[in-house]
Amino acid sequence: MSDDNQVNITINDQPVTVPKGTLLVDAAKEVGVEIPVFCYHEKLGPFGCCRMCLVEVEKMPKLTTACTQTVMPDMVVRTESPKVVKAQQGVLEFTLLNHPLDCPVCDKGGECPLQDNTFKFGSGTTRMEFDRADNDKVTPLSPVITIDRERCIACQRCTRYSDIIEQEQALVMLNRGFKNEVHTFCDEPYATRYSGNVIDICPVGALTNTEFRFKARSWNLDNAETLCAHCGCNCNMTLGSRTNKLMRIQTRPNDLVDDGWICDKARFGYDFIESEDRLLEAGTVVGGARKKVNALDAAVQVADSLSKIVDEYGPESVGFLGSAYGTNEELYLYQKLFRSVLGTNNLDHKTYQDTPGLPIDHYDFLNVETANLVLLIGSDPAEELPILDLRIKKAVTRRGVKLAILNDQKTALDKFAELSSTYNVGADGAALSALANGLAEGGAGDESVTGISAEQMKSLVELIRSGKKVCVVYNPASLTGNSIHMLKHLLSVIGKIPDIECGAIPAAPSTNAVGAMDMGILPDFSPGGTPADKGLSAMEMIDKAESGELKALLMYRSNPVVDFPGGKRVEAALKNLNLLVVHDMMETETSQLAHIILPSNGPGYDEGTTTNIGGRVQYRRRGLNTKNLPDWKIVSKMINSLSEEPVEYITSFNVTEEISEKVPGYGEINKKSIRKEGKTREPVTSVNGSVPQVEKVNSADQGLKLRVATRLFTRDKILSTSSPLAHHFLPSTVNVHADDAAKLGFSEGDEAVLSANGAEVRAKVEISNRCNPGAVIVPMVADDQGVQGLAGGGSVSWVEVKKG
Amino acid sequence: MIAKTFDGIKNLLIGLGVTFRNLVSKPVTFSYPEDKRIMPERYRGRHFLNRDENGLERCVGCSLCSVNCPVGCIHVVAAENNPDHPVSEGERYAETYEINLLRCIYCGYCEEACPVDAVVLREHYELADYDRDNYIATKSDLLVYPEPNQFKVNILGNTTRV
Ligand code: SF4
Ligand code: SF4
Ligand code: SF4
Ligand code: SF4
Ligand code: FES
Repeated sequence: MSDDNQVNITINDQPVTVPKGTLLVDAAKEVGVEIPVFCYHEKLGPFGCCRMCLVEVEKMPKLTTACTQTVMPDMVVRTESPKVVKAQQGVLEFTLLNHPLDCPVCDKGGECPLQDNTFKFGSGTTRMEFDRADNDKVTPLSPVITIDRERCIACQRCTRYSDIIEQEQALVMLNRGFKNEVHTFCDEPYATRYSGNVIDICPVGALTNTEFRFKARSWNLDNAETLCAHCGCNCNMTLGSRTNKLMRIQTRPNDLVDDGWICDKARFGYDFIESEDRLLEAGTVVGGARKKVNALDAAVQVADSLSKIVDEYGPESVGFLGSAYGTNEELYLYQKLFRSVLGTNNLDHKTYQDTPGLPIDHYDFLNVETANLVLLIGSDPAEELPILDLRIKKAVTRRGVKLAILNDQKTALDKFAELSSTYNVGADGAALSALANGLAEGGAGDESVTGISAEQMKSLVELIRSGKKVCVVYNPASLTGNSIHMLKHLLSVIGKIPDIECGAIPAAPSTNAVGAMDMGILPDFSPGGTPADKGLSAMEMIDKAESGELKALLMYRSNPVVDFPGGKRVEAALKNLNLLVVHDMMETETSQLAHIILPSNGPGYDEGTTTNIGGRVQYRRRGLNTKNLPDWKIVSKMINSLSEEPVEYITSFNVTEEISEKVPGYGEINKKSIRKEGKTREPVTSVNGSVPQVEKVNSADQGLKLRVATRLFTRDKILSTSSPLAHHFLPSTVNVHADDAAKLGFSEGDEAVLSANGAEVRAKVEISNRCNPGAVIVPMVADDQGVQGLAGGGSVSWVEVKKG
Repeated sequence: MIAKTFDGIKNLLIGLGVTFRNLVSKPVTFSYPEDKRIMPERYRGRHFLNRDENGLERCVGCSLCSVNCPVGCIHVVAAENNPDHPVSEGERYAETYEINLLRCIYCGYCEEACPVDAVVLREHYELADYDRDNYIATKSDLLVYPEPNQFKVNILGNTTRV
């Protein structure tokens, strides 16, 4: 008995049952029959240009390509008949006609489908008697990708990738016949955010990694199956090293997370690993000079000094500023140190407001594809979470999912959206409340406040109502003031609409934003979303440090001097502290102010679990060895030197075990369950009670509202000036609306000076209607741009924009 | 009794005959180390790296020798050639090429694997030394390419006559 959706076929005399619509190549894999391919790639779909996959199908007069042929009932397929063997040998002979055969010097050698297929299916000789074609060898396609045109077999995987997956059409095939070449428009560099993936999918050594070229052979590498630590997607990747030197980074497909891709920041943005600015030694600052000390001694000293301050001024006088870039284990231990041992609730890791847990389901990446509608709120995936961006593009272009966008700025995804509404900068609370009201009882809010017309609001409401499965993707970091509560209210309103299945993805850009909240690095929640007495939030800690009430702060991988709104004020506040401990992997503006420095290993050297925005907990393996102690050892040393109940961890997994015991939602997480694809943690409880009031936007007499936009390639501690990705860096720019530009008398390319809070930022004017009038958008392009110095730290910041 | 004596003398003379014959024949041994043995052409002794007719290194740093080596005693680190001053013919050359001669079992698989006939095992068999460190043959040792059966300064430092 087979149901309607299953088809029975026979491949090489073996019966197979596969779902309708399966391609022959994939069906053959089911019974372990290998059909060689070049142009076919699972994620790119059938194409049929290389003819490598020819098979014989009974009753078909000619051989057919297995990569384009779907299974039909009772098909009888042969992949090893003499006819097929002859065809395979012929195709390979043709493919190799002009192939240079420089396997010994080719980077693909050892992992090359052309080598493998020739070895397995080729004839072993050639009848070619002429000289092979002489094409361009080393040709840069972009600063990070080099193409060797002689090796290209014109399979068009790369061009299709650019067309189908990244939807950029940046690579094309030019010319015909032997002159067929992969090119970009007008020889522009091929510089998209995800360009590096073509290196992995090219079945020959034509597209090569400029950084890795000729450095090592594939079999020389020690490959660590690890995770990218740049953003909240937590894409899976392989870190290849040799003699403890990082050689290259490749994709490690995990359909539940990255769908087989990584972005260029993961692939090429690793020079921080060997940077000169790394903090490798613990130190204490005595009389302005840093003295090297043993890391464990420094940890004991930190613990003692903190407890002395607690004894003298009470537990409210110390605080912890974590970072959403740490692993769950490290953050959990720090949480334990500060909450249980030192007895303070002054913990935080962010400058915006957020609470753990969702009133509706916590969706993961797969739900983006299976939903009917994706509602994107305040999020710019292309710059913040690039692989989520690819997933949304896939959902929209290939899965028929509708996309609705509600944001204060125009983003690259707008052109894929069914509806994209732009609310005024700072009016997020009003816009979300208008939408929630619209969904609950009709109404469209006040256009003069929200900036969204009644019609648009109505169609958005309609769109959401008509969606059967709605996936809300929101970025809490882009919301101002207490709008996050309004957003959660909106989520519960959507959840209550009858016949709608819905869930949300809290798409904060940082690597472990969800994990940091789950681990209780929050002033008002202990691990697992359990409410706790309210301590000081990050910005309040800065305020109290300024007023002198807060005496000591420990910063874990956090650099408030640059990243927090306030700039100079933050710096002054930190200088005011009796004790500033910085535990970081890089020398930062904040570590310059520290009294005690602890080295942190950071991605590549560290290990532990992280929770991605979809709630999936995965293990970040160590790729390189270091002599330094892992961070969790340093923190447990601090705990042990203060607490009566000493902790003893032998590996980081012992901490994971404790997390799974103690943190609600993490019960199922253990070494085994997360080994392969990771495991989704159970949703943590959410306490989203009363409907909040919309905060009034504070107004200024003059000036424009400021929106700082996240950029993927920012010149910061991670990507330095010498990074291979430096070509992506932008000069300081300010996006001004045409109306405002006319009022202020700006024209495109003018130099502008933005000032607020005593800080000044110079920027080039770009007249674009990226936001509604009355505001400017400044992308954060570099640490030394200092744009956060303009922000006040309240809900909305105002800047004065003048000609420079 | 007399017959027995004669028999004895006869046997003694037969025995001594062998002795005397060998006394005047050419000896099969020779006085090593003053004299060296000429090894057969395909003897697998110490490794060398060949150069091509233009004096460039043949080795393109492909690591095939190293992956083929059953004991894993070859270490190759490749680098990209500067087209203006190429080290080898191809796009790549071996920046570091080291063989641990102590670990090597002189099987010749490396020579077999080399796609460009760069690494070869030659007739040089004098490999004794007092210091282990001397057994790491580096590029500068391996690229010295002596005439067949000429023993000069070998990398292990023992100087001998030709
Ligand atoms: S460069 Fe590679 S992926 Fe692109 S067409 Fe050529 S062989 Fe195919
Ligand atoms: S999308 Fe994010 S997690 Fe994925 S590779 Fe890029 S930076 Fe890393
Ligand atoms: S001769 Fe054999 S053991 Fe010695 S280096 Fe070559 S492959 Fe290795
Ligand atoms: S000696 Fe030959 S096999 Fe070894 S790295 Fe050089 S070219 Fe490759
Ligand atoms: S794989 Fe089928 S034609 Fe290329």
